[in-house]
Amino acid sequence: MEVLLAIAILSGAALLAYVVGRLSRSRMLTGFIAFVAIAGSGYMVYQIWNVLQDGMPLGWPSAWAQTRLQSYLVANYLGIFLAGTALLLAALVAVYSMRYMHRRDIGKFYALLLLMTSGIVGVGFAGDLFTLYVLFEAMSIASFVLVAFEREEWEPIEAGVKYLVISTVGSLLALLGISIVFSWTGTLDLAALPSLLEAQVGSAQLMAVVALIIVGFGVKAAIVPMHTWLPDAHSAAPSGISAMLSGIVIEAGLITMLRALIALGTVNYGLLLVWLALVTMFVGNLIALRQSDLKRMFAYSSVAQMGYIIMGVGLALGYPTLAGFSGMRGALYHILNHAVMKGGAFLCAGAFLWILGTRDIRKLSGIGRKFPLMGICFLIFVLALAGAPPFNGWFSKVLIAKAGADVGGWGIFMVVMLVLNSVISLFYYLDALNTVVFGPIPEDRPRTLKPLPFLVVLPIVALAALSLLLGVLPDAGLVLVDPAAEYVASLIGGGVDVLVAAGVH
Amino acid sequence: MTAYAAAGLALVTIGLYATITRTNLLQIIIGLEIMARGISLVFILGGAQSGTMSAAQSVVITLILIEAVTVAIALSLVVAAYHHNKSLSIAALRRLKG
Repeated sequence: MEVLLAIAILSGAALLAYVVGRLSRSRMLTGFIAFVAIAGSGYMVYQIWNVLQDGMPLGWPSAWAQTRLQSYLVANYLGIFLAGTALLLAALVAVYSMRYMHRRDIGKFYALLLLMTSGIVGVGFAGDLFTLYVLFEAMSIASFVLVAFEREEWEPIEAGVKYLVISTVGSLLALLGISIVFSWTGTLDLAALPSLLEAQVGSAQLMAVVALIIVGFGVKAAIVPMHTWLPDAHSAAPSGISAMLSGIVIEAGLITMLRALIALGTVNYGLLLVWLALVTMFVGNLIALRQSDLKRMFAYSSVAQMGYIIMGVGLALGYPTLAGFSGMRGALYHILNHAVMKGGAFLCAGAFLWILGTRDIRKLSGIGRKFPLMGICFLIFVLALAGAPPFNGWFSKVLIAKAGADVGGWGIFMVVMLVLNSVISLFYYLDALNTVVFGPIPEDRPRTLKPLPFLVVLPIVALAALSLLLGVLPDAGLVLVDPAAEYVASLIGGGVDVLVAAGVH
Repeated sequence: MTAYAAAGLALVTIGLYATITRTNLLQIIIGLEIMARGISLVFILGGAQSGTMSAAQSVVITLILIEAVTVAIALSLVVAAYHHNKSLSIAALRRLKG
């Protein structure tokens, strides 16, 4: 029931936010409603955490509801991890957008933001493949509209059409895979599927479905070559939405893919994912090198960061041992870190866009010195993205690299490639940093610039502080990450026993 | 049964082919719809095969709903694109580069 409430609060508040936004046209009031709903959903997620910690069953209002609902939504630590990360970022984006969005149809904006968040919260808790698909689509559909929100411009329209068509083809292919599984087994229950499929279906047939799922949900997870929609969509969306898309939506796509893949059982596709990850990080980093648009550069950098995350996931799935398992911890931790640092980076880019009305890195030259607080935050986010201690991002990368080194063989090669990619990424991160913060201030820039509203600064500073905290005290994030990684390990078999034996638990 | 499965997969293939090869935005959206119908057919087939028709029905009805919403949004974007460009061709969607 708590799980259902965590999702229902958000989608219910979406209706309320729309009506209030429509009637009052007040950005503050609508944003406040969204913030309260997100906080309420967060409280429910905290309740789920408590219930799981105590080992008690979830509360249901009646036996009737329990028998009908309990297989659709299942409380688990992976869901708590995803929901916690999503709600944290969504709350800050809701605050940020109170002043940043300057449009009359603000109710629509917050309604869609809440709907998208409810989808993300849901995919972690979904108990069967079709529920997973429905919540995934709820997230996607809301994000299509949000990308194309400023529809008097051309750029959001083009990005929105591309995003919608590519993403819908992808999710339909994944759904085709799900429908084939259903025609084999007659059930879609994530928990029941692995044993049923193992008993009834050959591994070659299963591999075909695995391919459909990887291609289908891989579109949302920005696996190269299915990434082409991402740079357009992430740079054209309003900045708060860019932060949500890069920070959590593509990661939610990956977790959807992961949950569907695990349900398909024992076919070994881990190494396939590792190779896809390698291509993804190279393509993302190399194309990011030649971007002159700040948000577009961050968008390509998201592709590269997804490469790191998928590499961790692939290592854990390919080598289900303690060594490979460090990859899953690293990947999940990197999802949390990426939400903080890339979310912050996009909000920062949005603040610069608010001040100067441009996203061109050269034209932003020196803006970080004019607004020192923004400059410091930008520095923190960019260095965190580059993986420099003491900011977050380094610890999760080290965990992924450690997994590669420990499994040996191709894993060593992957670590070398990971390090090489980190070095490539330094070029564009440091170039952007050098220009935006330390560059010369152009002659033609007006002396007095628009001041930044407090509510735009606040979420950025909060994320920068969090980035520093997670970098200095990496163990703080592990509180959320470890149970989620253990849950995944318990699904891919044998993982938990290995962990307990090694004393990691 | 195999005939139905073949029909479903054929519909998906036709729809996918249409979305990839067509250059008119409306035809691409029609291609998406054809894919979704093919998948519905596979779900119904699965329900008939394993005796879980009620589950298959609820899945297909939900799927129709999701498709309707997606197509509504797609069409509204196409209308907006048409207002900007006076064209429905995807050749107009080439301005974003890099």
